[in-house]
Amino acid sequence: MSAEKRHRLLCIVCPESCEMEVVEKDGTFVFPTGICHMGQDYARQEIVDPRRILTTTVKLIGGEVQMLPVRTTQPIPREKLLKAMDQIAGITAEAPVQARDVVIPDVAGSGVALIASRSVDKRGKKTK
Amino acid sequence: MKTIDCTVAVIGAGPAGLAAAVGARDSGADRVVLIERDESLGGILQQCIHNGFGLHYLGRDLTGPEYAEHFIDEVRSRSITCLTRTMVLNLDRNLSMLAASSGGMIQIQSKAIVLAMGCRERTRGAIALPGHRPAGIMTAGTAQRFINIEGKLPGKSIVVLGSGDIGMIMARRLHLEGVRVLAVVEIMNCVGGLSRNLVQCLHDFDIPLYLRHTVTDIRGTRRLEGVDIAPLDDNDRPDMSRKIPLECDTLLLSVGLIPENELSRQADIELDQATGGPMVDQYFHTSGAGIFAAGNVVQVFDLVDHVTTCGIKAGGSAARFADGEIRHWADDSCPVRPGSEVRCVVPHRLTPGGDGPVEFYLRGDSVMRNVTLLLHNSSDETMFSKKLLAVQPPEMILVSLKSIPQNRGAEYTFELQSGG
Repeated sequence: MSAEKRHRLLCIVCPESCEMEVVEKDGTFVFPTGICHMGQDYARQEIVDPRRILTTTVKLIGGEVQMLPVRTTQPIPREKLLKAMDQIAGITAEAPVQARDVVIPDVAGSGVALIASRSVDKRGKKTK
Repeated sequence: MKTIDCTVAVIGAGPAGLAAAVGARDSGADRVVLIERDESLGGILQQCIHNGFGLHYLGRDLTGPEYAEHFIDEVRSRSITCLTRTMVLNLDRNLSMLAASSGGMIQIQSKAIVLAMGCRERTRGAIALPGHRPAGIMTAGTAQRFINIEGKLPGKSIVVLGSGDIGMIMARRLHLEGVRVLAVVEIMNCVGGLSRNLVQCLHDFDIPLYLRHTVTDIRGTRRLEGVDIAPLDDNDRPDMSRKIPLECDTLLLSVGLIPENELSRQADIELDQATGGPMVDQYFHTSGAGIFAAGNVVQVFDLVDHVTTCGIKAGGSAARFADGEIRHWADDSCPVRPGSEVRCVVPHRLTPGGDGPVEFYLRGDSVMRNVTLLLHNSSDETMFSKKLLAVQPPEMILVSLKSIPQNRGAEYTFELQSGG
C-alpha cells in the first residue's frame, strides 16, 4: 500500500494559475515548493473528491419560455455529472416556477437538490 | 407618433442597463425609462445558465438568470418604466431618440441617456475563414441561445474555434448534452479564457485542446461536413503539411467580442480604437453632452460584477447631469492614457471637480509575471504603484485611487514594468 501516485493539476484559486505535480503516498500529499495553502487545499479536494456545480435546462410546460434553467444547490461529485444529466433529461417542469423551486430533491443520489434558477410565469401572463 | 419625455433613458436592459436604471432612480431621477429590444429583461444573462456570476458584487455564486433576476427585481421594486420589444433606431446629439415598438414608432426625448447596448460576437467574416459556406457555422453565443433558450441542439459533432470563456463553456455544455466535441482550437499558445474554465470545461471531460492551431478549410456545400485544422509555424502561417481533417457538422466560433456602437456612431460619439467603445470620463460621460455609457458597450469586461458597478455609477451620473449637478467634459479635462504593456484604460479622462475615488479598469498587452503597475503624471512623477503577481489579458486589472489631482493640464499614463 505504499505505491506512489502522481497527480498533475492546474490551480484555479488565483490568476497565477500554478501548475503542479502532487505526489500521493499512504494518504499524504507532497506538494512542490511555492504552492500556497489555498492551492494545497484546492489540490487535496480535487484529488480526493472533485465536485462541481451542475447547471443545465429542463423542458418547461406552459411557461413564457420553453426551457427552465436549473442548477444544483451545492457541488456534486464530478463522476455523477453525466448520470445527473441522464436523470434530468427524463423530467419536465410546469409553469409557473419561482427561482429556487426544487425540481429534483436528490439528483443522481448525491443528496443535493436541483433547483430552478429563474422564475417563469405561465404563458400569456405578464412575464418578468 | 407617440412621444415620451423622461429624465434618464437607458438603452438596453442587460446587466449594465438594469444597474444604470437603478442608479439613475436612486440618484433622484424622477422619470427613468429602460428600453429593451428583447421580450424580457436581463439581456444575454438569460442564456448564460452557468454559474460564477456575482461572487464580487453580491458575494454569492449565481447563474446568469439568477444574477439577472436579482437586478430585475431591483428595477421592478422602483418606479422605472420598462419598454420591452422596443428598439432604438436613431440617436442624436440633442438627446432625442426614435424607437420602433410593437405599438408603432416612439419619439423619446430625455435629459440624459445611458448607452448600455452591450457587445456582439465576432463572426466568420471578421476573421476571414477560408472554405465553403455551408449551414452549421455559428457563433458560440448563437449555439448557447439555441440550447439554453430554445432547447435545440445545433448539431451532433462539433469543433469550437477559439478558447475564450464562452467557447470553453459551450464545449462543456454540448458534451453534457451528448454532442461529440472533437476539438477546441486556439490560435494563441494559451487559452483565451480563465483557468477555471480550462479545468472545469475541457480537462474534466477530456475535450481535446489544440493550441497554436487554426481552421484552414471548411468542407460541405449544404451542411458542414468537416473542417481542416493545422498548426501555426513561427511566422503564424498554418503548416499545411501537418493539417488534421476533422469530420463535424457544426463549427462554433468564439473569437472575440466587439462593443455594439452603431447608435454611438450615429450621435458622432468619439470612440477608442483600443476598446472599441466610447471615450468616457470618470462619470462614464461620453463626448456627447448628456450621453453616458456603461458596461460592455464601453469595453468588454471580464466579470459582470464590474459591469454592474459601472452601470450604477453611469446611471447615477446621468441623473446628476439631468439635475445640473455635473457638467460635461471640456478642454480642461485630464487625459489618461495606456503606456508600455497596457492595452487600454477606462476612464479615458478625468473631469475636474470630481469627488470621491476613481476606479480604473485596465488590460495588459500580454501574459506577464511579477510586474509593477505604475501611474505617471506628465512630469514623469510616479503617482501610484502596485505589484502584481500575474497579468493576463483576459483578466482586467482594477485600480481604485482615493484622490487624483485633476488640475488643468494634468495628464496621466499607466504602464506595466517587469520586476516586482
